[in-house]
Amino acid sequence: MEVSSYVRPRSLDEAYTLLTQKNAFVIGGGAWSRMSLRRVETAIDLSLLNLRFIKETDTYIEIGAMTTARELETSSELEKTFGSLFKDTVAHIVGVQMRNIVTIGGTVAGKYGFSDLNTTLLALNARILPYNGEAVDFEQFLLEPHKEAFLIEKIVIDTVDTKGAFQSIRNTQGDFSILNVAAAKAGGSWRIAVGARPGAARLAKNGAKLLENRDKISLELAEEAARKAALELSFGKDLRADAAYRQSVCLPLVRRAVMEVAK
Amino acid sequence: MTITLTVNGQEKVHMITPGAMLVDVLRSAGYTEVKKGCDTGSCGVCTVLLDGLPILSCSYLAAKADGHEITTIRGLEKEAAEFSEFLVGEGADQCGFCSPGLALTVMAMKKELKAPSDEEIKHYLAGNLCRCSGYEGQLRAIKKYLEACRG
Repeated sequence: MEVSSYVRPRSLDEAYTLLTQKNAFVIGGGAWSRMSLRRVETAIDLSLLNLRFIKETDTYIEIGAMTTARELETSSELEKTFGSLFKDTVAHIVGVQMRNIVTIGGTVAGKYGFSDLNTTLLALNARILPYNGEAVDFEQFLLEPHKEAFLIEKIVIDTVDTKGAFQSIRNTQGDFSILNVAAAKAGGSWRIAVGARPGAARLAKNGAKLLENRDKISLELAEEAARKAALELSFGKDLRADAAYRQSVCLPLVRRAVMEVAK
Repeated sequence: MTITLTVNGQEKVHMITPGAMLVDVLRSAGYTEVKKGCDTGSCGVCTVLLDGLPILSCSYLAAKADGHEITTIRGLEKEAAEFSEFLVGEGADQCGFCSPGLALTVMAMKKELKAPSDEEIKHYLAGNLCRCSGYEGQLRAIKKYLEACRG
């Protein structure tokens, strides 16, 4: 990445004003800068804005945009509320050294197809809180491009009666996923998210609908929901796998994730 | 632009280009013990500690490190020498190119994890590639080293 000027604003307001300028770009962890051919006029580093936090209230958890993947992995708040969900989700992001760099804000903003974390955040129906704007649902965020400057301040996740599980398939530890699946249940309502299709994560709404308000999820029902999910979503080909392979592994991954949540 | 880095306890001002990666800034400042391997964030040999936490210096913007403390393997000479005896003892040091990154990550792990299991060690060290050892010797060395540190 070619950068003309690198700025560390002292306030969110200053950061936002910078972002409205032509060819300005927010640096999250910055791990992809090396690989990018992009030319950036103003790189905006949010390091000085105290956006590295995980705060819990009785009903939701807030995660600051500059919180690293490693902090999500080792957070006792997240573990207490979601068990091993966040640990399982970020565990394969290269290694500890990389997880100490990448940030939740950078991952979310990138809308990366390969993102393990975005798959889980979509299943959890996370909300993105931009500075100077309304909260945006994760699904809406992934689907709709933003025309205005969009500065992610924090991610908010409702925690009341929420459970989730993450499953993935990859060639080796630390490699990008061939397919990511996250399932989550909030009250009686279910969400199934599938990522690395290889496109960005999408919800399998028909599959999830089958599970609504069920007292008990049988293996057969989970299998049926998984079959529906694999049929309703689109899959593509890249150097890791072709579409048919992704579609066929979608089924067991969804089944496993659903059964894990239903446990 | 200029940044201030404290490397192994020594504070210095560095003149950098705004998009420079930390590994290149460190190496051109003479810290050639920081190795450059894949240069894509995959192999772990460029590892340094930033405020005590291991990061890949090839995937970290130097500008982001402004005002922070960096430790290279030279900053932990004594611990590195002790650890390398265990590596040698298990025949796990061959070309040695990955050793500085590995040793720094082991030092960070030693601080973060108390009595880690084999699985926890492997998980912590995933992303530190070695093309000579086959990893088994490294694992034996690390376990013996951690045990010796605990006394």
